[in-house]
Amino acid sequence: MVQPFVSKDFSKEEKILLLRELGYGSDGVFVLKGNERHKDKYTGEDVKVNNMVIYPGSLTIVNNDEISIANLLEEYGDNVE
Amino acid sequence: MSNESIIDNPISNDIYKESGLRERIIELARKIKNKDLYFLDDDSIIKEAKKKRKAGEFKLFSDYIGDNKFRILYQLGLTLRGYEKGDQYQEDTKRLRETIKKQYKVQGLHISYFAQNGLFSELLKNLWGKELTEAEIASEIGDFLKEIDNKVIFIYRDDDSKAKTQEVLTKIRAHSPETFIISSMKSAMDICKEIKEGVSEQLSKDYDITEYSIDDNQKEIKLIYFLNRKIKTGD
Repeated sequence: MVQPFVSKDFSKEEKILLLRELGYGSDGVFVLKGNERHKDKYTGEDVKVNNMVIYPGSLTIVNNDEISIANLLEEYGDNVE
Repeated sequence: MSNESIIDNPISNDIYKESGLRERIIELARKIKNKDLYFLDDDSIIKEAKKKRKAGEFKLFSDYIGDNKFRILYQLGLTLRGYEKGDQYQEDTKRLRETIKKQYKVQGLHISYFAQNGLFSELLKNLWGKELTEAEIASEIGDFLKEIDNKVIFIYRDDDSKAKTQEVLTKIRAHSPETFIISSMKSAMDICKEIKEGVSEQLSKDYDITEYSIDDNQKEIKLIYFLNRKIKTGD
């Protein structure tokens, strides 16, 4: 089971550092992959640093909203704690 | 400004000088890559979504329906239903309905309404009464969802009852569905009753109409009419 790391006390800067360690970046608002804004694979929306979920495996970074979460659980369901 | 500087600008590299921060971030990234952890700011949405997916109703729906999109829309419908009891009912439901419609079009929104309004359990009861096999029930439900716009009408409080009555009659005459559902909630229930009366006057020879209501704290909050096509006896 993949456990949640709920980062309520993380600053935006710390999240950007984490993104860098994972091979992504940020312009301060959105998650970047290379020079492009990274898209939520379920909704096609740009993913915001302050509202992101990072799920491992093939590293899925999506927005923390009802539709993306519903899709994430449908894809990874039993592995998400 | 180069692309690299845009990426680097939001934070100062000084932050890495903070005691242990770099090590903590690297360790967190390692655990994510290693599939031990996933990262998020706020777990309220995922907690609620998991609760809905563990509920008996979702499990039962999943027993019959394997289609991922239908299951996602069903779960979103249960989320909409959960918002009915929240403090921000209007805002939450309006926002989520708009995003469902944007992502999954009107048909997708109607499948979520189907879940929100509790129609699945009523449809299932309706199908159980027809002595079908499990596979036939699953097929009927799947077909029903694929054709939902021809088989269900959702009534809203601002609807004109005469126009909606005509819309129901037109849909039924065009598609002759075995089952047609007229569904309403709260302030739309009176209009729904008027529509049912108008439809009944025109179609009572061909359809049996059964009324279902759903209560919350002894107050009726949902009103649903099932129209089942009568079996021709050949007399």
